[in-house]
Parts: sequence; C-alpha cells; structure tokens
Amino acid sequence: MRRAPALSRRGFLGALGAAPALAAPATPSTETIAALRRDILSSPVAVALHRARVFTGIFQAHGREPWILRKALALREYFRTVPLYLRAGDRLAGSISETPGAMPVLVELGIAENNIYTGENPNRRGYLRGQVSAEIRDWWRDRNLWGLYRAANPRAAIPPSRALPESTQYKFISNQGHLSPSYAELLRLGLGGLLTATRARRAGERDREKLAFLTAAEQALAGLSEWIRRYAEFLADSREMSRIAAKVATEPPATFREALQLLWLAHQAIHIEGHGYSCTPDHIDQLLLPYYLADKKTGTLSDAEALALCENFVLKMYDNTVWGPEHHLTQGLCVGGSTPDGRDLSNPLSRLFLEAATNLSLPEPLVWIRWHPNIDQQFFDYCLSRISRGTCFPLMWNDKVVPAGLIQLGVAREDAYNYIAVGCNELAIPGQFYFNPGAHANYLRSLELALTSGRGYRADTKAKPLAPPVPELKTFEQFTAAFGAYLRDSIRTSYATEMTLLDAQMKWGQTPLTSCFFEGCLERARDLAQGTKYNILSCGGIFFANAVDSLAAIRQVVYQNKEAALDDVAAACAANFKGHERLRAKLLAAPKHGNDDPRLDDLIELVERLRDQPMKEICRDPRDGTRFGNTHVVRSSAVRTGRVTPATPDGRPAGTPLAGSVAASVGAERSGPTALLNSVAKLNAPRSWQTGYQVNLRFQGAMLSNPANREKVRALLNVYFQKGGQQLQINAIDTEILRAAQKNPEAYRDLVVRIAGFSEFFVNLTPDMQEDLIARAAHM
Amino acid sequence: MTGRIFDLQRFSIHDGPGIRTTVFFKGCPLRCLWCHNPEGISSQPQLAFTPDKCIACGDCVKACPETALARNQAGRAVLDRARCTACGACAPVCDARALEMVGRDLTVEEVMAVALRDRDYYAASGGGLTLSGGEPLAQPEFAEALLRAARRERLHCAVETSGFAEWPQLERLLPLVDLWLYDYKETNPQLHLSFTGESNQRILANLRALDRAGARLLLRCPMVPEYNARQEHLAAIAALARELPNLRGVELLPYHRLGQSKLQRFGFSSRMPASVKPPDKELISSWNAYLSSRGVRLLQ
Repeated sequence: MRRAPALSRRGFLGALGAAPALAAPATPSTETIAALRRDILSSPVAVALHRARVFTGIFQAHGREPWILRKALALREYFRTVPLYLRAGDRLAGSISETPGAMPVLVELGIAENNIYTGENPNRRGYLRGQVSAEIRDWWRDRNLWGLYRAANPRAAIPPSRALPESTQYKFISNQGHLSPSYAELLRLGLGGLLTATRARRAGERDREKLAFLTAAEQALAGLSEWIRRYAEFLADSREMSRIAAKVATEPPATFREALQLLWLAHQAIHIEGHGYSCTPDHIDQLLLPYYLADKKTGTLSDAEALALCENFVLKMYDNTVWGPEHHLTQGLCVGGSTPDGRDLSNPLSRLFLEAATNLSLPEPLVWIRWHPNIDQQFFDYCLSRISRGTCFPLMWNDKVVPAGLIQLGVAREDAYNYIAVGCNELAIPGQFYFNPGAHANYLRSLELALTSGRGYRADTKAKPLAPPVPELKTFEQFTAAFGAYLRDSIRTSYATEMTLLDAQMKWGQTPLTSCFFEGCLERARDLAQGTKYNILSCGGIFFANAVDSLAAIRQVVYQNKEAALDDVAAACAANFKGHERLRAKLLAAPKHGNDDPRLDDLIELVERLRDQPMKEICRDPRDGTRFGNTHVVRSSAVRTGRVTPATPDGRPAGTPLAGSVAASVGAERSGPTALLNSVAKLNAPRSWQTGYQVNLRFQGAMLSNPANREKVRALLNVYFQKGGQQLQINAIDTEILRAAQKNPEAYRDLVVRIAGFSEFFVNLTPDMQEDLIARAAHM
Repeated sequence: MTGRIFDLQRFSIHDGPGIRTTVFFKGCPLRCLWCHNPEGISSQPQLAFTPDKCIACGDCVKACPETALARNQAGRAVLDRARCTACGACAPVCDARALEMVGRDLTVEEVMAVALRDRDYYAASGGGLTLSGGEPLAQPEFAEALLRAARRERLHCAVETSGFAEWPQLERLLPLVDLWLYDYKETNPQLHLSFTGESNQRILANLRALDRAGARLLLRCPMVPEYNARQEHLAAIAALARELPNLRGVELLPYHRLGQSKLQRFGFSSRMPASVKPPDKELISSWNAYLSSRGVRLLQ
C-alpha cells in the first residue's frame, strides 16, 4: 500500500505558520480556540480505515440479513470499537474517525479507488487512491451501492449527466445527504427516550420489512448511545466532559453545553453513518435558546463562554468537512428567520453563532440567515458587517419567497416556514423534506441541438431529430419550440436515469440512524430513502443566464435584424467564433440578462415555462406521485463545465466559465447592482425555482466595512428581498486584495470567498476560478 | 425637449444621500485642469475610440464619410482625429463597440424611465435623482423640466454644479432642488482663473445668494496637490462654512487620476503633469482634521 504523502488541509500551500495573514485574519475569541483551529487546519489529509474494516467484516458475516440491518449492525459495531481521541483544547466530544483529520471510507457505498471522488481542483484529484487494501476493495467491487447499481443498470454511463457530473456521482460516495435532521425530539426525550419509543414500536411489528427497519433503527440508536458512553470513560480525566457524556448517553440534556454536546454527537454519528454530504444541523439557534436562557438566568453561562462553545462547535463542523482535498461536505449552519405570522426568530444565539463562525474565517460550515420583512435591522446590519471581515458569510435566503414556493409543492404553511438551508444552495425542512435531484434540464445542449437540426456542432449524435430542421425554423417562435422539444427530451432522459439512482438509494442506500430524526420513518417503519413527510425531488437547470442571453442574441441577430442565419450562428459556435468575429460582436451587442432590460422579460418567462411544463408532465416522485420542484445548483460547475462546453450563441467563447448565478452571465453585468437585482426579481421564484437558485453580488470591501455605505447596501438588499429575490450571496473583497492574494497566497490564506455553490479559501482555488471571481463586476 | 446626456449612472452612492441615479449633462463652461469627467466638457457629441475592442472588421472605414478611419496592417481601425467631425456614422456599424458616440439627446421621459426603475431603492435609502455633468446649469431648460418631472414623482432631487451660471437660472431651480452639491475649487480669484479658465467671483456670489435664499447646500471641494491643496484655501473653506448658515457640510474630493484614462478615448492628452500624485490617506486625514477643528461638519 502506498504511503500518503504529507499534504495538509491547507491544501498545497506548503509550510504552515510561516507568514502572518495580511488580510482576513481569523479572530478566535480565545487562545485555546485559536490553537484548536491551527491544529485542525494543519491536520494531514488522510484516510481512516476502521470503518471500512468493521463494515466489511459485518457485511461478510451477515450476508443473509436485509441490507438495512447489516448497515445498522456494522454501524453499532463501529461505535463499540472505534478508537477514540480528543484534540487538545477541544471541549466537544465526537469525531468522524479514529485519527485526527482522517476521513473514513464508506465502503458499502463507493470507494475512492473507483475514481469517483469529484473535485473542485483537478490537480488534486485522486489523491486518496491506493489507500484502501485490495482485499477490501475487491470484496466490495460488486457488492456496494455503486457495484450493485452498475450490475442492475449495465447500460448506464457513469457519470450519466455530462453537464452536471457531480450531482449523480455524489450519490455513490455518500448516502442521500442534502438534509437536516430534526433534533427537537432528541433534546426533549434524550437518546434513552428515543430508544424506548423505538423498542415499543418494534415489539408489536409483524411485517418483515418493517421489522427489519425498526430493528435496524434500534441497533443504530443503541450503538450511538454506547459510543457516547465510551466517551464518558475515555474522558475520565476531564471530569465535566465525562459527566456530560455519561448523562447524554441516555438522558435529555439540561444545560446549554449538554445540549450542544448531544446535538453534536448525534450529528457526527449521522455523518459516520451516511457520509453526510450537505447536512445542516436543524435550527440550532432556536433549539438551544431555552438552554442558553436558563443558564443565563442561573448565572452558570457567560456570553464569552457561550461564544467559545459556539466557536468550538463550528470548528467541529469544519474538522468534519475536509473529505480529502478533493471535496468539502458543504455543511450548513442556518440562523434566524420568521414564523408564519411574521414574528422575528433571530435571538442572542443567532448572533453568537454568526460571530463564532465569522471569527474563525473558515470556508465551512456555510453560514446562512433567513431574511424576512420584519427582520431586526440592527441584526441585519450586524450580518452585513460580518461579510466585510474576509469571509462571504452569512449567505441569505428570503422568507417572503421560499415558503411560498414550498407551499406550491404541497407543503403545509407552518412546515414551509421551518425551511432550512442545506448544501450549496438547496432547501430542506428539518426532519420533513430533504433535497434530491431527480431530473435535469440541459439548456445549452438543447440550444445546440435546435441550432443544428438535432445533430450537434460536432455531429456527435445519431438520435432522431425531435424538431423541424433549421431551414424550417422561419420564426423565432418556431425556433423556441424546437429548443423546447430538445429541452423536454433532456428532462425526460435525465429523469429516467435519476430514477434508477433513486431506486438504488432505496435498496442499498438506507440510513436507519438518520431516519430516526425524520418524521414518519419510525411511525411507518420505513427508511428515509423510502420517503418522509414530504417527498420533493428537483429538476435542475443550470446556466440559466447563458440560455436567456443566447435566445436574446438569436432573436435580435437572426430574426429581428436578419444579420445572420441560424446556420451562421451554429457555424460560429462550432468554430468558437474563429473567422466569425463580426457575428460574435453582433451576438454580444444583443441585450444581456442582468441589466434590467425589459426586452428580456418575455425570454426569462419563456425559459422558465419551457422547463416547467415538461417537468410537470414527466416528473413525478415514484414513491408518492408528488410534484417536482425546480432548482439552479451550480456548485463549482460554472467553471468546470465551462471548460468542456462549446461556444454559446450569447457570444461566450468555448471553454470559458458559464454563468455561476441566475443573475447574469460572466462579464454581462454593466448597469450596477440595482439593475442586476431588478433582473433577478423578474424570475418567478415561488413558481419556477421552489428548491432554490443562487445570486452572486460582488462589492469592493469598503461598501460593507464603512457603516454609511453599508446602510445603502442594506437598503438595496431590503428592496431586493421585498421585490421577491429568493437568495443572495455576497463577496466584498477588493480586486486589489484578490490580486495580492494571487501573488502572495501565504499571506492571504484565511481569505474565504463564495464561488457558486460552495465557499473556499481563495488561495486554494484554481487560477481560472480565481479569475472568474475577479471578473464579476465589483460595485463601488 | 431633449437634453444632451453622456451617462445615466444607477446605484450612484457618492452624489447625495442614499441610493441615487445620476444624470450626467454634457457641456461645461469651466476648463478645470484636473477634470475627472472630460467627456462632459464639450457640449457636442464626441466619438470615443477604444482600439483594444476593435475586431478588425473594417465596417467603420466604409461608413466614414470623412475618410478619418483607416485600417492598419493588422486590419484594425486607426482614427485620424484631425479629419473626424464626430458625425457619428461609424458608431452604429461598430458591433464591437470600439467606436462609440458619447452624448445622446434624451427626452425627459427617457431619462425618467430609467430613473424610476430604481425608485424603490430611493425610497428605502433616502436617495433620489442627481443632476451632474458637465454642468447641468449649462442646459437650464432641460434641467428645469427634468427636475419638475422628478418632483412630480416625489423623488428627492440634488443638483451638482460649479455655480458658474447666471443667477436667475439658479433662482428658477430653487424650489425644485432638495440639495445643492456646490463645487468650490479655489479661493484666490487669479488662481481660480488659471485653474479653471474663469474667475470665482460669480461662483461665490451665487453661493452666497443660494444660502440667503435658504437652499440646502453641501460644499464639495476637489483637493489637488500642488494646485489648490493649500492651507489658505482650506482656511477659506472653513471660513465659508462658518459664514453660510444653510450649509449642511463640506466634502473634500481628493484628486485622482481616473479621468486620465478616459482622455485617451477622446484623443485628448492630459493637462495635468504626471508628477502630480493623488494625496495619500494621511494627507487627506490632516485636511479633514483641520476642518473639523474649525467646527466644519464633514462628509466622508
């Protein structure tokens, strides 16, 4: 077996602690927290094999048991046997593996050997290759989720989706993820209470499948309790931590610290069970508030102490997130929001968690707030002031829009207002609804096919054309109908593929422990993958702005001004505009989305409709027949997919980044932030983007650090959200600082930026991603 | 009626309170050496040429009636400013926007249509519309018509002016303007003449008259090292601030060189020596500290 080269979590930055940070230095509230942060950041990137060995052994020994029971038995055995550790200064027990910084291999899902780890940084891909023994790897080859899926779907290409590879790939290294477990019952009843309730349900159950689920749930919960009790013994030297562990192993917590500890242990266990891609721990500021207030009342908790504990919690989340240098988990932390009757939910803990997270200048967890019309404006100002500290947090959702969209999908009003941010920029409801892609609308490929009579620029498809050939597209309406036909087909085919993935998740992707924190799972004795309270799958469609701009350019140049034919546009795109510079200039001169241009209003609505209509007709959740939602999740693919996407009719050259936000294509934004946000507000979010879109806005740093400017930004955002903007994420770092960071990365290593669906240390980005960020218009 | 406008800037946050849209009037009676909006000086439309954007299509050469445009060896456009009459024939055929006409004649309705797109932002931030330039008072009828239209829409209206105009023109606008951003460039009349081409006597008289008439005023003072950034000028600003009861504050505008790059696009060369450097932060702070110590309310 090859030895892992010593690569630290700082990525490829080299020596640690060599130079002081000049920009965005982290400001942990205590030296202990600062030391813990350094320790976590300097951990080597490595693989931990205890989980792989235990799971292999249990799955081998219990081959006749149902899959879900094998998973639970293996999980319990892992909890009973995993060697424990605690980092120096860490006051919260519970780690992802047996070795600091090392991540487990989830063999029953997929193994890094399969080369399915995706990465933001292509230079670092495959780093973990060779870490798992051949014996383990070979045994699982046809027995894990990926192997079984392959056997069941021999003709399925991996990755099935060219445009959005990671959306399908993640399902083979992780269980579902994109979820937020509900921890209210756990805090109320304690683990012992949950276990008793589960046992009671199992006692009367006769149905074999249901019995398997309930037995698995009980095994998983018992394992979790045993793991916590082991911490009580392991931490005997640290009396308070030991006492807390012993207590929360079965009893409900009584203090803030006890509640925080229990919540973390349960959350960590969920990551151990299912990898935990894109998990958010419920509404933490709401759940923990009673404990915080009680402790304050009795004088046993100071705000300084609470802040240090919150920072500790945030560090635990970050410690849990570096799944190899290849990818982060995109964990979330969401605070604030409003009730259905408009009451503001932000509280002192919301502020403490925000302060903690931004003090630490880390790319994860992604920190979110929920804006609403009655948001405390002082709190909102505080949120904006934190963005200027060299992180991009908090990111924002709008309560005026998100619940309305969920209600359209059949969610009850009070549940809709309990929504939470998960993953890159997806939506969920703790314990009731998790995000899961179920289809994909490929705008740009559909445009390409419509422009080439179904052949593609490189004549690389033999499929039968689905629309009239180019010479018959005499009007713009005929052209958009052809575009719509190919778009419909992309939804249909991707839906079919995604349903095979869902089927695989339901058979070999169960998570009995996580299911215990989802409504209806214990009651109906079925796994989360079989369905929870609301089963909403999503149809993704990315690079919306390029699609709108391309249609606008074709309408103006081909149909209105008659300056070129469709064939000319196709030839120009195929040639990446070489020899077609004049036509490219005309395409570029057409109106561009993001500039509040009324000439695009009908096209925005058209693209939404051409995707929504077939989605409604084709896509149904196979479990209960419910409707799909729509989403625009880009993560890192605006740059990566851009590299392999041909030139587009909006004038964008081949290989260059695509639009990382629904607001505007790269370089198209010319009329300032009011025009940009007005353009976004033209999208009908409750009707056409129920499960989330993303909007990037970039300012020079002084716009948010200077209070007078910040007041203007706050007014800008209040109006944007009032007008119906669903989401917003801000970078507020001067171009000069980003350039300086490129030249001297070591000095700027704490600088955190938002790309599209993820955040990262700026200096860890690839050069083209750095340029993509700098190219966004930076407002004064 | 139309006005000649060279830019409509949305999310303008440095020309009055809140979030604003600033309308830049083309044409100015002064010739300040350090002008940072050189495209606002001439009242005539001008041809801006950005050679970097040229895609060597040659369409402009065919379109030019004055043979002012030719192609170089690479096929890219070369502009002979001596022959160019800024007739504007080339700009519409230049899809690459290397050749653009600066200065469009817009109606009040056209300007208002853009301005009103952001009215929610004005309402939330206490912002509104600002007339700037160039010199808005050099197109007094259009300025008045635009201000009347804006007032009908209940927008907060600001006018940025050099004050170099006939008093009756200012007087007519008095009831229409919520805030005057009044430029004050130099105290010494002789120096004012050499820096701007005009004496400051009328400017000072108009300033005092506006103040007497009860206008809300902000004084904006460009500070240019080696030119007007002198102690006696600062002292005079402080004295003026004490003298004018309706003055709401003073804002110093430190010299910058952003106007220089614009000049090239219009075929002009800078009249400012390269040796004149923008003031550093400490120097700016010392000016502000001095004015503060003299009881002047500063806007920064």
